[in-house]
Amino acid sequence: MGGIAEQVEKVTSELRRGVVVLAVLSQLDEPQYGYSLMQVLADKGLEIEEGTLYPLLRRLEKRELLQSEWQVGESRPRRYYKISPLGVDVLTKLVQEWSDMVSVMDGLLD
Amino acid sequence: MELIERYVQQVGRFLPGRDRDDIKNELRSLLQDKLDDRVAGSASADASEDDASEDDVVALLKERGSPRKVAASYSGERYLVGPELYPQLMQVLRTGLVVYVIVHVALLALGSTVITIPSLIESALSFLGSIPGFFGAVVIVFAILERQDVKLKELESDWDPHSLPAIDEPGRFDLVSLFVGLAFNMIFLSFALHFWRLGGVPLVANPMSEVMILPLSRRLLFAAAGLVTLQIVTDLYVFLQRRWQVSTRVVRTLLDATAAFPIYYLLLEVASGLVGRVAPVENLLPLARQGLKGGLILVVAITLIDGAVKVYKSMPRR
Repeated sequence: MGGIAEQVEKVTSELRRGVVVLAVLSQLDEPQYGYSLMQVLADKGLEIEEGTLYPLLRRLEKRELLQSEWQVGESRPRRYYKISPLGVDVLTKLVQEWSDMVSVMDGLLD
Repeated sequence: MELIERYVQQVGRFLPGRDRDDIKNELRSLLQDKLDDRVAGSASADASEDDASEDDVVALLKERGSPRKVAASYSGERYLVGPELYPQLMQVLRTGLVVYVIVHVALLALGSTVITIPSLIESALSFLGSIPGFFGAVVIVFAILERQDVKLKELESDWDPHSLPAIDEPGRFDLVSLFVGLAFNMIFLSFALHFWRLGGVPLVANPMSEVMILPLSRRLLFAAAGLVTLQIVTDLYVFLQRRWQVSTRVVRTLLDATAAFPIYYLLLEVASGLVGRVAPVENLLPLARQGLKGGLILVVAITLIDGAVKVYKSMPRR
């Protein structure tokens, strides 16, 4: 069954998986390429592996929550992602859901 | 850095075609950014990717994990088999199918004294019918492994970026297609030898009836079997060498084109015999001859053009 550390790691990983979409959408009101987004999230305390982030960005784009375009003006071509109008609407709802969830959890954990 | 490009190319080999170039470009860009950061972190402020040592690149790629694992992360969710095991599942299915064909043909050859056209059709249908069962069994095994949380961390820790194949390596061979070719050649060879022993193609499968043999030229059968044997030998040599060379490509192309001729004449004999015995319809034979002649020209032309392209690609660049 695994020790305490393993159990905690498993649940923490599931919790992070649940919030990562919200975190990514919240940081893409300005265009960001994958690596810069990863650094922004890390600076704010949320470390995401690129093996998780890049496929997630592609999935969100396929779900039309993000838009992307290649920019070739810099030192190397980079793909920039930005939240789409649909993504903005979804994010608004998700933020509300998140706030409700935090309130509920605060009440449960007090 | 060449190692990064080799890594990106290798990841691309495991990716679905429609997204491959896009993901490769994004991965290349990410690795270069990370390498810049790594070098900047350990050297002067204006250090760049060009200042990176091979050790930096190797360490970066090892952190990232094997190309198979990276490609698997883009595979999305699977209902039965997750992204970490999915590439292995596909590899087992591909390789297993080739082995399955060989075993099936071997059993057919061992189990029957006379192979007739109807028995061949029956066997082929039974084989096709059994394929879903084979695929299902493999998928179930992988689904169980998935649920047992079997991961590939042990393999991952052994992964060495230096083992990456070269970029567009001339003469790189595809193991699966080589074995598929070998399997089909061996099937052909076993039939050619069987028909050579009988002196022709048996036509009747009904055990109550006498087997009717459609005679074929033993010299043609011998020539076809000989050429196919040489093809098998060439393929085995390529397998041992682990690469195509210009010489093996030329030999294989010439053998392919030459083998079409005895097969063409054998098919002509079969057509003449069938029209005479089974379907005595006027004007059918000239039509069959025309069709076979057109087929021969097409096969030889495609073989030579394809072979020329492959020979060109096998040539080492500078």
